Formats: sequence, structure tokens, C-alpha cells
Amino acid sequence: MGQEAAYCLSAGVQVRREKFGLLFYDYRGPRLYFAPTKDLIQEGFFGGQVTVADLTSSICEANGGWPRKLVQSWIERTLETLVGKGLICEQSVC
Amino acid sequence: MSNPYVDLGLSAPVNVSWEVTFACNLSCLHCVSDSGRKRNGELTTEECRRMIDTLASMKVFQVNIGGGEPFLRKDFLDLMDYAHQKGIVTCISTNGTLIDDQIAGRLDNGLVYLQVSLDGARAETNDAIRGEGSFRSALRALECLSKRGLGVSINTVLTRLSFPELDQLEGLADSFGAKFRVSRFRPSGRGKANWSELSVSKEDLLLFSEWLSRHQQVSTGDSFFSVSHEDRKSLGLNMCGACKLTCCVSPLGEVYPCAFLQEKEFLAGKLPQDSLQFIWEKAPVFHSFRELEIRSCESCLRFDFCHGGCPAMAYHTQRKLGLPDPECLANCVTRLPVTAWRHETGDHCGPGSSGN
Amino acid sequence: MEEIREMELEVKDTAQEAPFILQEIVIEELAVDGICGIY
Repeated sequence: MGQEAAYCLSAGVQVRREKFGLLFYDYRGPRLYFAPTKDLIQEGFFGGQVTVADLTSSICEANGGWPRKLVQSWIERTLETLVGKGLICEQSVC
Repeated sequence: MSNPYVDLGLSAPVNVSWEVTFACNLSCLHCVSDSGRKRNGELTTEECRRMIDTLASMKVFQVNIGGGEPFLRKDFLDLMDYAHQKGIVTCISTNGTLIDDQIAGRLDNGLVYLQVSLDGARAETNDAIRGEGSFRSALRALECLSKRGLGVSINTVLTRLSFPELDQLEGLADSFGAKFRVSRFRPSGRGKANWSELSVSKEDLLLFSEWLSRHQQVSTGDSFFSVSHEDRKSLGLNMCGACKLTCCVSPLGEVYPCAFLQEKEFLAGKLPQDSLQFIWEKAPVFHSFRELEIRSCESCLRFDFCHGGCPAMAYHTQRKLGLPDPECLANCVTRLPVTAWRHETGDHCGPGSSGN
Repeated sequence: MEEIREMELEVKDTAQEAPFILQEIVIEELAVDGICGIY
């Protein structure tokens, strides 16, 4: 997963922020997906304009002291999980 | 509730049922909203647009639209365009009488699903409930919509008349490339007066439960969890979603927990005076509903599958919330003689079978 | 695994808490066909 990768929602998927993190709705199911990402990822990240590097930086800045490598690893694992569920795809693929 | 995130409370409904008018050109015997003539005080075009704005700002994912007959509203297609511009997915329930190629063309935008109501696989059955000619109109609509590749489903209300024809109805849906949904009949609206005539027996409910297990691709609008077997648990909600995942807006802008509880005591607020956001977050009716527990069901082995069933059924049959759904699987089984419960003997049961 | 352990030590060294981002997120799913009230 490249740091310059950006992601967008898969066709038929919507997302919004909730207290616990992100709530995805896939109307092809329809099915709800509850992703407990707390406040680390905003819905706007899935507009295809914000890169993984940008997200990593913003999380580190907002949580001063969190090691960049750890944050990066968490983001990568989280995005892989979301891609695996068919909820998002990398910008070049969308 | 079995979902910890829903228990935490969502910021907005996931979907909203919106009845856009009382006007209808049919007089179905089971009509939830007792539709017929447009009523004074129905939301104006501008009020509807403001409501759509609110739904968009709350990020409600889907609006399920019914009535009455939605296409009788002169501004309906413009309202749909407006909702779609806001990115809201709509599922429109229609009797199909007014669907033509021009209307189908207006709806061909990827954000619309259409549900055509059909209560029998034969004109004789369907029209006995929906009125003469309604079967023919529905089929014409299905033809029109499926020709364009629009997402379509057939919705059938489970009644004594439709039950024996479920297999044929599913076949009819297949022939149009449509999904098939069976909805639960409840004694509200006009359905109250026709309940004893149309409701299915407990024996047939058991058979229906088995039929659902054999037809996993059939949806139920999350309305039959009280009689669904474990093998359908992952196919839909196993509890009432009212005030937790959904709510209902009437043609007059009245907001209720669900379409089957459009009674004064459940009125949570009224648009446009009250905002839907405020009602969702603060209405005492909604708070009470979220805390509703069917205590007498908690010791039941099936509690995890149904959480006490449909509160609206309990209310309409026993005039009280907080009581068990009278049509739950456990109730159906325990109130019948053992010989009537065929599931465990492995006998084939289902609509159209000799056991029916 | 080695890399994760090193990172964990790094966290402890800096005396900063970041337990959440060491966790794998588990996505819960719920099928919903919410057309309950529309015939």
C-alpha cells in the first residue's frame, strides 16, 4: 500500500461518522458495516483526494507523540480490512 | 439489542419510511394508512424539499417512499430528482397503475429502486385485495421497469389469500428479473377491519417459516424475524429497528416510530415545525421506544432471534407495548397440538404442498 | 512481528499512550432490509 494512495467509496456504498467511528451502508445488500475507527478517519478521506500519507500526518499531529510507523501500520491494516469488505477501493481502481 | 453500536445510539436513522400522500387510486383491504383521498395539511412541495434537505444533512442513507400512491403527487418526480441530487437512495413502493415508459425513463438514474405491490400470482387473488385491474397494471409496470434494467422488487403482503401462491409469485418475480419481498400483514389502518378475514393461521405461519428457510433469497423487509429460523439470522434484523435504525414520516409531516404505529400516543413530532434531527435526538416517544424491553420473552430460547418480536403487533392485538409478539414462532408452536408441528418430522411443508 | 514489538517498545519509551492503534479493528456487519412499513 503506497503512502501516496488515495481511496474512494465503492459503487453503491455510503459512509457517515458516528460516535464509534464510521458507519458504512452498502445498498446492494443492503448491509450496514460498523467500523470502530473512533475519530481517526473522517468521511472526507474517502473522496479520493487525501492520501494515506496525509492521513498519517493528520492523525500524528492530532495525537501528539503517537509514533508515525504505528499510525501508518494501523491505517494500512484498517484500509485493507475495508477494501476486503468491498467498501472502498484505491483511487486508481475506482 | 444485539448490536453494541446500535445500542450506543446512532446520530440519525439509517433509513426513513416516508408516506408522501394519502391519495390513492386503489383501496387495498390491508392498507396501513387507510389511503384514498388526499388530506388537508399534506406537506407542500417546499416543505418536502426542506425535509429532503434535512435527510441529506443527517446523512440518512435511504428513504423508502410510499403512500397512498406516490405517483399521484404532481410534484413527485421533481421531489425524487431533488432527493437524488442530494445523493439519497430511494426505494419507491407503487401499485404500478401510473408507471409508463416516460416515468420509467425519469427514474433511470442508479439511485432508485422500485417496489411493485402484488398480492397474488393470479388476477383473481390479487384483485380480491387490491381491486379489479390492479394485477394487470402491476404486471404492465413490471414489464416497463424491468425492460430498462431498473432495480425492481415485487412486494407481497402475507395473507390467507397470498400464502398458497408464494412459489408462483417468486417465479413471477424471477421472470421479470425482480427481487421478491414478503411483508407482514398487521392489523393497522384498513387492515384492522379486515384482519380476521385476511390474516394467516398459526399453522400457516409455521409453514411459512419453513418456506422462508428454503427460500433464503426472499427478503422480508425485516418484518418476520419473530418467525424466522436461525438459518435466516444473517439475512436481516433480528429485532425491531424503530427509533434505532428507522422511523416514519406521514403525509402530514407527523413523525412516528414506524408506519404501523401511526397513533396519537406515538406521535413524536411534526414537520416542519419540529426538525427531524431534533425529533430523532430528543423526542420522549423515541427515547421510550429505545428502552422498550419485552421482559417476558427474555427467558425464551428464541430471544436472540427475535427480541420479543414486533411491538406494533403486540400493541394492535393487545393494546399495549412491552408484550410479546403474538405471532412469534414459540407462540405458534406451543399453542398448536403436537401433530400440527411437522418441522421436526422432516415432512415437506410449504405453500401448495398437500400438507397445506 | 519484530517490527511491531519494536514499535511497542518505542511507545513505552516515549511514555505516550497509543493502545488503540495497536489494535486490529473488527468490523461488525448487520443486514438490513428496512422496508418494513411500506406495502
